[in-house]
Amino acid sequence: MSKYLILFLILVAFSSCKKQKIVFDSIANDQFELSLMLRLNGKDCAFDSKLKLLKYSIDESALMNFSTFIEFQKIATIQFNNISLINNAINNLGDLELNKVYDLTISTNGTSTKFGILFTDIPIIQIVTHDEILNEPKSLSKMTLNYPQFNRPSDINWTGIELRGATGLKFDKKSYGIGIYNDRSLENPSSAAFFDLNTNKKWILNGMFIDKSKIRNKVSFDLWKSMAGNIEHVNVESRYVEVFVNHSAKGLYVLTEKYTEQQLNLDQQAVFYEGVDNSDVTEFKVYPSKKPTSAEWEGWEQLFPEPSQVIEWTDFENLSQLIAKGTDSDFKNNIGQLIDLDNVIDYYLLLNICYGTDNLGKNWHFLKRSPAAKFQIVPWDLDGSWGRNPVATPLGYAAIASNHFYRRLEELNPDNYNARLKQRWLELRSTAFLETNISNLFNDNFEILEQYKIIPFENNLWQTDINLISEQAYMNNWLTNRLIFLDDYFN
Amino acid sequence: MKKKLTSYCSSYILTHFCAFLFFSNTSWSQEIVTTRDIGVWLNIGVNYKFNKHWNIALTPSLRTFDNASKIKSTLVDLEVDYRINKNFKLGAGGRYDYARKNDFTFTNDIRYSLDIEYKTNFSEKFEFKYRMRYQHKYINLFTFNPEVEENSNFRNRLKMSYNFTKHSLYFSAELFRKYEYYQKPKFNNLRISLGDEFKIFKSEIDIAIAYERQLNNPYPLNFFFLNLSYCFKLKKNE
Repeated sequence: MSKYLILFLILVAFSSCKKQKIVFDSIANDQFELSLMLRLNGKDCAFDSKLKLLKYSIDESALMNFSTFIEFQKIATIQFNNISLINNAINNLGDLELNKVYDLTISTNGTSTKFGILFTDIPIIQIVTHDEILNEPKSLSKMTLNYPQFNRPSDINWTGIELRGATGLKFDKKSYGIGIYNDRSLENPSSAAFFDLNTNKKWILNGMFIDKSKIRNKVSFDLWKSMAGNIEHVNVESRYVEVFVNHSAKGLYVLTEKYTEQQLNLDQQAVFYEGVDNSDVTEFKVYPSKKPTSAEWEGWEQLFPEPSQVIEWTDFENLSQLIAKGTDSDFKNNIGQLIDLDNVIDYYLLLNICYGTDNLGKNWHFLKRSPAAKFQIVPWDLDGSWGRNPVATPLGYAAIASNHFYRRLEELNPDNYNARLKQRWLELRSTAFLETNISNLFNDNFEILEQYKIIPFENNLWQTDINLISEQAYMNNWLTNRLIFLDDYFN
Repeated sequence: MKKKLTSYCSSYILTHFCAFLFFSNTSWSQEIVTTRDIGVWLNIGVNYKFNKHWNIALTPSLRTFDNASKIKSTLVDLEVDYRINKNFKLGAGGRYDYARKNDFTFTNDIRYSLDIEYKTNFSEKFEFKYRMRYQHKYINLFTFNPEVEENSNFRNRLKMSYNFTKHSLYFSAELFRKYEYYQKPKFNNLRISLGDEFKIFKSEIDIAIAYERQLNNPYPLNFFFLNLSYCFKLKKNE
C-alpha cells in the first residue's frame, strides 16, 4: 500500500498539484451565459478575446456625467480610466465619449490584465453557442440584443443558428440564419420582435461581406417600399447591428426580417415560391419536362405551404407554362389574369434602376395570397446592385436587366404593358425615383454607418479595404449616369 | 492490511468532511479555471456472486478534488452482471450521486448504465478487455422541477492486464462521448489508469493512479487521482 501512496505522492509532486488560470473567454455555462466580466445597468459588455476589447452599446446622450450600476466578479477589482470601480453599486464614470477606447484593468488574485473598453451607439448582438455554427443543421444558441437606449431592456431569446448563403459561404465572414425557440430543445419554435419590427420566427444576420458599401440590400428594399403607392410591395426591413459570437467580434451585420408566413401574413390558401438558381427554367425560358412532385422543382422551391404538410404547385405550374411555352395569343390574353402586371412593372423598374443582375432567375419570389388572387413578385437579396455585380465587380450603367418573361411582355404588349411601363417610369421619376430621393437614401445610410465608426474596425477584423467615402461617390456617380441612360431608354 | 485501510479511510473521511465544512462556501469564479488538480477516489464495496453467470455489487464511494481537500461527490453504485460465456458479459447499474457542481452547490443525481464487455486472453498472463457503456444521468432529480437536466455518455474502455501471483497489473484507457440535448455530441473526457488488482482473503483490492483530461475545452482540466477500491467478495454457498 505504501508503495502506491509513495508513487502517488511522487506524481503529485511532479504535477505540482492544483493549477489555476485566470481566463476571460471560458466556455459558456449550460444556460448559455458567458462569464461575467463587466455589466453596466444590467447589460453585459461584449468581449473580443483576441483584441482584448470590450464593447458596450449606449446612446451618446447617456455618456455625459455617466452614472451606472456596475457588476463584475466578486474576486476581481477593476480600474476604469484610473477610477476604481465599486462592485454592485452605482459608479460615476464622468463624461465619456463614443468610439474612444478607454483603459480597463481587471485584477484577480494579484494578476492584472489590461483591456480596452469602447462605447458605441450601434446595437450589439451577442450570440452564445456551445457548438460550431454549420450550414445545417441549426446549432442551439442564445441571442441577446442590447440596444443603445440606456433604459431599453435587452431582447434575449433561445435561437437556432446556422450559416446561410451559397457563394457567401466561401468567405471568412459568414451570414447567419436565426430561428427563435421557446427553450433549449430546438423543438418548440417561437417568435420575437426586434427594434420596431414585427414579430417573426426567423431572422437573418447578413454579413454583407462582398458589398463594398454595406448598404446596397437595405437601400434597395427601402426604395422598393417607398415606391409602392397603391400597389402591394412585399418587402423586408433591416437594421444595422454589430455581432459577437461567444468571445469573438464578427463586425457589422444587418439584422433582417425573413419571409415567413408570419411576416407575410399568409393564410392556408396562399402559395409562395422562390427561384434558387439562375437557369432557363427560373427565367421562364424553358418549361420543365417533369412535373413537380416535391418542394423543389428544377430551380424553384416551394416555401409555402409548408412542404412537409402539402406539396402544391398547380397555379405556379400554370403560370410557368403560360410564360415559357404558351402561344403568343394565350400569353397576351391570360398573363394579366395570372399575375399582377402593376407589380411586375414595378419589380422591373426596381431591378433596372439598381441594375440587379442576380434577381431574374434566382433571388425572386412569387406570392399568391389566395386562389382568386394574382401572383406578385417579391424581391430578395439585392446585394449585387447599384453599379456592382454579386461579387462586387463594377458594372456599367448602360444595360437593361431582363429575362424571357419580360422580353415576352415587351414583344406582345399584353394589357398595354409597354405604355403602362413608360407611364410608371415617368410617375416614379417624379417621386421615389428622383435622383435626390435615391441619393438621400444612399447618404442617410452612409451617414448612419459613418456615425457608428464601425468600418475601420470591420476592415481590421476581416482584412478588407472598405472605403465608404469613395463608394458613396462611386454609387452617386453611377446613379446619375444610370438615370440618364434609363430616361433615354424608357422615353 | 484490511484494518489499516479501514482506519485510513475513516480518518480520511473525517479530515475531508471537516475540510468540506470549512471550505464549502469558498467563492468561485468562472474567470478562474482549474487546469490541473489532484484527488482521491475511495470505493468500499461488497460483491455477491449468485452463480457462474450472475453477480451483484454494491459500492459506496467518496471522491475528492481541489488538491484532494474537498469532497467532489459521495455516491453509491449498484451493479448487476450477467456473464454470457467466457468472453462476453452484460451489465446494468444504478447510481445515486450527491455531487458538487462548479458553483459549489450540491445536487442529487441519479444515473443508470448498461454495459457490454468482451474479454479474451492473449496468453496465460495477458488479458484484454473491451467495455462499451451507455449511461444516462438525471441531475438534481429530486427537485421535481419539470426541466430536469439530463445527459448521456457513450464510453469505450480498453484494458490490458498482466497477471502474476495474486496480482494483476493493468493499463486502461477510456474515451467518453457526451450527449446533451442543448449541444452537439462531443468527446469530452479521456481517462487513463495504471493499477494493480490483488486478492487478500475474501477481498479484492484495486489501487490505481489515474489521469483524466477534458476534451473539446479551450482550458481542459488535467485531473490526477488515486483510485482506491476495496471489495468484499461473497458467494452463494458461503
